[in-house]
Amino acid sequence: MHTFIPIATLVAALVWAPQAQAHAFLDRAMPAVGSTIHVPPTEVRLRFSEELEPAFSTIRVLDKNGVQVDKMDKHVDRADPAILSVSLPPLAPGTYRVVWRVLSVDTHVTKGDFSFDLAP
Amino acid sequence: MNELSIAIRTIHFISTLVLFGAFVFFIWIVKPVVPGMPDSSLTAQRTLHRRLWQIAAWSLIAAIGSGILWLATEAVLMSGLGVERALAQETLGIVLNETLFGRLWEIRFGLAIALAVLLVSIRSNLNNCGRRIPVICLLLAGTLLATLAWSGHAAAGRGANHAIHLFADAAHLLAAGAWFGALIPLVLVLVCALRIPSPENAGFAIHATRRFSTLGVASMTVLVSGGVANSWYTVGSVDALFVTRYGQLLLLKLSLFAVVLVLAAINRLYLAPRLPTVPETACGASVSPLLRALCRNAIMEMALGLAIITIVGALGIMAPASHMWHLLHHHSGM
Repeated sequence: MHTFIPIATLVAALVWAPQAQAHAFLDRAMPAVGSTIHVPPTEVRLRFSEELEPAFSTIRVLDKNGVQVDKMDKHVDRADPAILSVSLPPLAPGTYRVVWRVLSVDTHVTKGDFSFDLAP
Repeated sequence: MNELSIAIRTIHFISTLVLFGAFVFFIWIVKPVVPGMPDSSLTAQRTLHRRLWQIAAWSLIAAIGSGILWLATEAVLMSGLGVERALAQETLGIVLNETLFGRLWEIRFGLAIALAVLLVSIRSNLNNCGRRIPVICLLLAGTLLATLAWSGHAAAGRGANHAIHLFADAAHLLAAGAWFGALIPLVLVLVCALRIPSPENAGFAIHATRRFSTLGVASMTVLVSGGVANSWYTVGSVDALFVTRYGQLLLLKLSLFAVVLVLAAINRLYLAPRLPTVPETACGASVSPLLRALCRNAIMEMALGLAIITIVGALGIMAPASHMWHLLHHHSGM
């Protein structure tokens, strides 16, 4: 009985606990997820539910051919470490995909992507 | 990696809890009781001191080992690189110097090394090591344990809630260490009294049980208070407790803890009052049934404690119920 309880609980914990879950959820994006905009944005700005670790948080903006078009200057906002952004050069009309991977300060990784359209 | 993370966290939690508990037992129970014991118990005292040192030493080794493995797994998970590249000097350097977790781990390794040095220094003079070094060890072990709060969900809090959550988590950890960690040496004392039923062993076991009982009440109070505060931040609502996996696992943990409370209540309210009022007059054979029952309950508490800590290891890799609940409602448009 004394060994059964911890072993049974270990099995239950391994079965019950799903894959390590994302903790920093995407709260808001600018441009918004799936939006169509008419003015080329100067940056993509993502706000998450938790503060981020800059060292392992990345964001890329890709064009329809999968080519990275941002300025590769991703940074976490010093005043609000839950915001991750990257600057953009002037973009041509088209569909763009934002791909992100962030590490929250409680050591959990979240990743995702979304698209936005830049209309003429 | 999921299962490996849970196993490593569980081992690390257990080893740091036991490490802290060993010093708590020495300072709260052994130091006050031993001076009043007869000279005929000197051999038993020396054995107990040696056993406590061994518990502390082995749990420190396990804590350092599991701490290194935890750092390695985090380097892999954080970087998203393969094992070889994640454990390269460059990546580890980034983890250690540019993340909260890494900087915390540097501090904790420093504490562990300091503890190791002190333990080695008293190894050859366990019976006359005084009080100062054990107290310093207690503070170092307590800090090593409490700082685990910064590696969990409390670290991601914001504003005033951040400080409150961290404080509650740290208090919860220390209380768990004082209860669970001190159970092992208590069981050793009880087993010794049962195997060698001399009046000296029985007397010390009775003293130890009474002082542990007082420690247990204080620990349980802080455990429950800290647990309620933690749940406020990580669960947030009764609905989230039942609907999310995190909440369901937490319910299992609370159920096991409820059984622990029942056992503790039996020990304190039924068994302990029946022990001789003057332990020095205890006849080993006459108190054996009581000590046997106490020992059995203490072992059961340890088993339940191990199960609870395993659940804590799993909860640590999961998104808090409050986050999942928010996500469910956000996506459903509610």
